[in-house]
Amino acid sequence: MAEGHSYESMQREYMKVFGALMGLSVLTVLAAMLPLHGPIGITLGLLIAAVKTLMVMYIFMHLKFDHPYLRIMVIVPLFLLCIMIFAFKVLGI
Amino acid sequence: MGSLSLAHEPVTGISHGKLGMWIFLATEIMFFSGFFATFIVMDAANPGLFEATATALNWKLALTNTIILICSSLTMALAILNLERKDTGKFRMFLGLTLLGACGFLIIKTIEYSGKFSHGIGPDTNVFYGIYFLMTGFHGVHVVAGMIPMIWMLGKSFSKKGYTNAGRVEVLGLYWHFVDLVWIFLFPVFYLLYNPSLVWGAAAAAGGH
Repeated sequence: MAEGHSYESMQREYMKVFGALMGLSVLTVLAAMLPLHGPIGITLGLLIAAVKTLMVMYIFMHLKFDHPYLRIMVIVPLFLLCIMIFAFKVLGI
Repeated sequence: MGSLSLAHEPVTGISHGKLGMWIFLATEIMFFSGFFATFIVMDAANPGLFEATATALNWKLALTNTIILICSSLTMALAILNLERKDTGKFRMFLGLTLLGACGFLIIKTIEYSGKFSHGIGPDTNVFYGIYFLMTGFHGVHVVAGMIPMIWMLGKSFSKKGYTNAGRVEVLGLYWHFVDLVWIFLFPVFYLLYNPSLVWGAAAAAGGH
């Protein structure tokens, strides 16, 4: 358990993230039904996935409560991944 | 000459297991990034192919799997929380539910795969199916790999001493949440974003012709 967090408060956080993840999963399906062609639709879908990722990592995976080292460790590859997608999809390299 | 003294911090306060798992997960991000790069390159090299093929995938089964994995992520987090306050009964229940979710995911994946195979569709059908089977297959292998320590811990929890190593369950939890994260990307990328038939009015328009 994260330091200084009670069982009840952690459980509440988990339930909130769970509800948000469910809602965003439905939202990502609805977003795919919008007549957004190509890059805009893809960007929207990836943005929703990115928000879900942050919630899972910060709450479920305790990054919010853990040592900052762990945050740095995961931000570097994620940053490289974003550069790759940007280079390929936006710049078209 | 004085000896060289480097300031260092020998104690980070992070458990070895947790630190090791995060390093591993960082390499896993790069591992799957390579596949995503392949996906993007293959799409660029074959204009229109991904849109034409992704339509044949069953997004409803994939959405069900998304929901199953989110539920199993929650039960995994709750299992750790309950083991930390030494509530063995609830730990066992939530770990069991997590395992059940993993089984459910694999069953649905099997239904999906066999539906494709029975139509003669496989990884060699075209590059879209190639990368589809490659990525969802590797993800499935990750699910199976996560189930092994789950079964072991669940088995141990029935022994006389019970299972008490909350740190280890937390490390397994990190891995399990990561497997969920990979699916969070696979789901929209394969089933939604390249599927023009999902767009409102597209199905009606197709039926009209």
